[in-house]
Amino acid sequence: MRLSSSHNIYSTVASITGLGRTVLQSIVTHYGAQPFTDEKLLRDMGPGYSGAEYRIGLYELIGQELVRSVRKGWGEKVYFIPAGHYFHIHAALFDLQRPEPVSIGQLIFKDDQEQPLPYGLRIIYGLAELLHNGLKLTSKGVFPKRTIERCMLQVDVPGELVDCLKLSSFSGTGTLSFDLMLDYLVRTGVIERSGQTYAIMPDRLNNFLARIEDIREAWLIRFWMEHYALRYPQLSHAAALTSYWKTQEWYKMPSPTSESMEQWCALMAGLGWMEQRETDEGAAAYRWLFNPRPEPQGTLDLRSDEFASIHLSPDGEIFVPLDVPATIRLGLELIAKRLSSDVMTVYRLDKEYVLRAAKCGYTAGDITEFLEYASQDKMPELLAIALEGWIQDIEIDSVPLYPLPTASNSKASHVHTNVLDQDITFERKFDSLFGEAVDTESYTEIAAPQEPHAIYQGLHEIPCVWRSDMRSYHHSTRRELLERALSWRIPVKLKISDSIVPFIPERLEGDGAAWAVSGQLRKAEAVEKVRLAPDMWDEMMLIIPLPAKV
Amino acid sequence: MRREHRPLIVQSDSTVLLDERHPEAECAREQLSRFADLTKRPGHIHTYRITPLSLWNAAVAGITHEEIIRFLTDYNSYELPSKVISHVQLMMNRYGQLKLERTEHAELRLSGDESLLSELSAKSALGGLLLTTREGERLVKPENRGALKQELARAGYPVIDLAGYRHGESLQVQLRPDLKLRDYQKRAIDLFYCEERMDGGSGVLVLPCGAGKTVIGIGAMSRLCCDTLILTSNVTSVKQWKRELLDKTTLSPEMIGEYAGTSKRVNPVTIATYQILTHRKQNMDDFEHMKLFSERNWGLIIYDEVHLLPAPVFRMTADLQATRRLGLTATLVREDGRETDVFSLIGPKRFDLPWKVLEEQSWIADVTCAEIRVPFAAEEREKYEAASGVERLRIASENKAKAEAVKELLQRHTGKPALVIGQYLTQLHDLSDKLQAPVLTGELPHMERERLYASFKAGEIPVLIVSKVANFAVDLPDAAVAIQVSGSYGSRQEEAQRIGRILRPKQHDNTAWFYTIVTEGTKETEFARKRQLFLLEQGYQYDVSPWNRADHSEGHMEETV
Repeated sequence: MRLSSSHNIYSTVASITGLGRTVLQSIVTHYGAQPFTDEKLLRDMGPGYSGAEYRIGLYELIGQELVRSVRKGWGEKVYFIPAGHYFHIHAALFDLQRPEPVSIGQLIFKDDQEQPLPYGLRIIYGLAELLHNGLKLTSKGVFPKRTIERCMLQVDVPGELVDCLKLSSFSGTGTLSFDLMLDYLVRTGVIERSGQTYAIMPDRLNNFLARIEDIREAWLIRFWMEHYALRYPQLSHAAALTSYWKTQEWYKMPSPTSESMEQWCALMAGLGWMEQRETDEGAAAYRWLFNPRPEPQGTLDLRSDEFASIHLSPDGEIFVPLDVPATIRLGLELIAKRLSSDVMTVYRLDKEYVLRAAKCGYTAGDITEFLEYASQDKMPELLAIALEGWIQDIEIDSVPLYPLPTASNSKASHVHTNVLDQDITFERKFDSLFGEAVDTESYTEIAAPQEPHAIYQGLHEIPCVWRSDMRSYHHSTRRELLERALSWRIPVKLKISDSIVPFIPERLEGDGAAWAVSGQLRKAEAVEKVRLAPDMWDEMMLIIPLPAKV
Repeated sequence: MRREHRPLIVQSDSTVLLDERHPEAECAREQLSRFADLTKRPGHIHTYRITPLSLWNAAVAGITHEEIIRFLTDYNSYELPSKVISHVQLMMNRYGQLKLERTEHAELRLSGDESLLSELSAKSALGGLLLTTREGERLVKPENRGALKQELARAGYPVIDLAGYRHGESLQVQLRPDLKLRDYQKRAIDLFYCEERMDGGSGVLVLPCGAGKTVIGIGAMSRLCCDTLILTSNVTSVKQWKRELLDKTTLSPEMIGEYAGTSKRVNPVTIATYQILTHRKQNMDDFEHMKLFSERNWGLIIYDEVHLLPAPVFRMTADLQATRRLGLTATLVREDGRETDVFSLIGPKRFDLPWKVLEEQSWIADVTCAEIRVPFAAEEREKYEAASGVERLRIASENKAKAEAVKELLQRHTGKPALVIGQYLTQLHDLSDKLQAPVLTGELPHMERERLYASFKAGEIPVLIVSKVANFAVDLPDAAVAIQVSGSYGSRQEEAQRIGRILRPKQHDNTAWFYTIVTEGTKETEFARKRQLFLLEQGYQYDVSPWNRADHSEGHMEETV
């Protein structure tokens, strides 16, 4: 069975053994979706299980496709959770645990706190700047400085917030915020490079613009989780934990909290997806403004004539409600001056901006048709006359990069795509401009061994009774059994004072008759670190952990 | 974010948008205007703004922040931004934190929380004005009362001034029994007077031109019965105030002094211009006429057109805080941004009534606005193309083809008193010749101007051509048509003043027409658009049409314009 959907992942995680679950939990916590070796896993695991048990747990996970086992060339074998599975696995393991929300009465509101615009909206504004300034690159293969500066005004994210991503600017301009926008547009295929220029991919652009705000922002949150948070295990863990918080409810930063948790929440707030406040005790509190885990839901499709319309004022101001399609927002960005961006965005159609639009190839007819379509109303006469007057002497000789939506060309583009009846998964067709966190292309997949003889080299060489019966052995044979257990990293059973207790040997100490073994006694109530001399137990046998039947 | 179908959208920058098409819009507007300023109402969406001043004005009127937040929450389409909640709470809580009272030794005492007083005392602008006495109190010299209020308002802490007023010299003045004040005029006077409140007695009333601001001022005088100094924007307005006082009160001519131009009479009621008060021979000289403020024991000072109040008069007003002050204006918006000084020195806004509301109630005329675009005569177009900058605008403004349009519009409105308003004297004299109508400009002596006004009022002159002297405070009775043929660039204020000339309610047919004639395809159309913004924002609509003699002929005109 391929783990093609979140549903499959949930049911698979629910079906694995306790051991498999313990190992999976350790992997998620320690490595996130980053690669690890089994040596590292054994080193990092908590007490209470032997190395073989962990390895068997790991093999079970590989068999269930929750973890991939690969080798790069002749190099070391490594394992990792596939990036697309990580957040589903995390949710299945941690069962969407969330802290108790705090009441609004416990929060302090400050007059001077600016709430950043949602990042998806800023990308639309940034994209408009790209369309205005052109998509051609300089001879050095980067965007012109002026284009970058203008885009940065729209998409800038404070450096201290993105520091936790430890990304380096790939464009060589040192403008990480611009690079992040570009990475998204390239990764989602909205723009594609062709020689010394980028080109708009109309279908993908429409796909991006067709999403209603909540879905667009939810999609972007997931993009940041999967593409940037997943580069660091602690950040991935923080991203996953916070994604269980209910939208619009306030949560206090847990105390003590991890640095990653603080960094991730501050970043989400900086991207306009979370809102930050302080509690009356001085602790930071956050709430999601958009749902990072939107529930699969029914169709969101709307017929093209049912979208929210803009309102045109005779004085040239244009009022744009929150639920106006992004195609129209992008169009407005290209022809009018944005005065404010809020639940109602306000633009002004003025001479300067109309002339700028004309330079991009838009005629008075294009603008009028677009505005009348977007407002579902006639353009106020005064405004129509003013528009005609501003543009009448301008020769328009270029073709717009983005055709303004009109009744005739928008039948398809305003249909809000239904993205949430499937999982939010990202196409990995387009490479990240920052370089991939895990370069999966160059790996060879390796199946996990399932047969006992393949797992335990030399299993057939030991007497069968060593692993079938509790027996009393001579001290030297006891040592021999323990040496075998240590090489296979398996536990043994010991009979001590008439009780049979599993023991995980870690180390043999001393030679000759005065030897001893250190390890962990796995008692019912707890794991106990002990050092045992051979006369401290009566009987023993090896425990050979074996894979569960898949 | 979930949207409810409600009439308001509150933005996080404290702008409030009201959708007038919503069934609850009227109810929302009434509540909203108590604590937010209407910025504009050009189409269906009207823009209001919640500012510290508008909130303090609301606090003065006894509105609490809980009421405001509850109202906004109930009427807002989305969740109320927390920034707005904190802004309202913060600003409303600040009002009343400081009180200014008179001590038994006739000194002034500022009282409030000690930590706040300490914080304010540390500010350089305030430190010198506050003398420490004991915890929670500071002494203030009476002469610093205005300066203190001004600085505290600038620092964001308005003070409740309970130090009271001197009554001034008593004056027997009553309204004539036949004068019936309109309800809103009575309410405006009551809200200004506020006898039961120690912090009343000073403030600003905001009403459109033609709403009877002068009558309200006179009403306030008759309520207070004290010597009154009236400050206004020009000599014509001085005359008009005098005429109104004589017409509507029991005052005799010898009780009223004019302090403008050549006349410098100081009587129990004295009317002066801002210009004379700020006159000085040389830049370094003192303002010698400022002594007028102390020449009598004034009980009330009326600041007409308070949005034009010049800076030196502000400074003088700071020293007159023990005198009651009444500001009258059509707009609180000042080009110099000194609205906070108006609040602290003249007083808070006590009353506000939007233009369109008065029009709906027929208290001002129902005005139809139209812009008519006239083509150039062939030779003038060439001159225009060859000219540059300012010269171009002048050529477009003085387009000779406009005369024909004016003539036909006047014919269209025969029998209605009409004003033709312009900027350039040559153009006006030229029109005077063509229309056989008198022209009134600044060149004429005041006596001659008065004569022309009187003839126009009497209906002896059906058409009067006026220059920009008519922009301010000239109450030209019963003008029903205004045709502006040229103006100063894109001045919105001038446009508002000019439309004000025809707003007075008409006895039979309460309608008026406001035409702007511009030259097609020139800069003039852009300036006209800028000029129209204020009125568009007040809810007026302009019809724009090209001049076509056939289209604008009798009969067709009514439909197209």
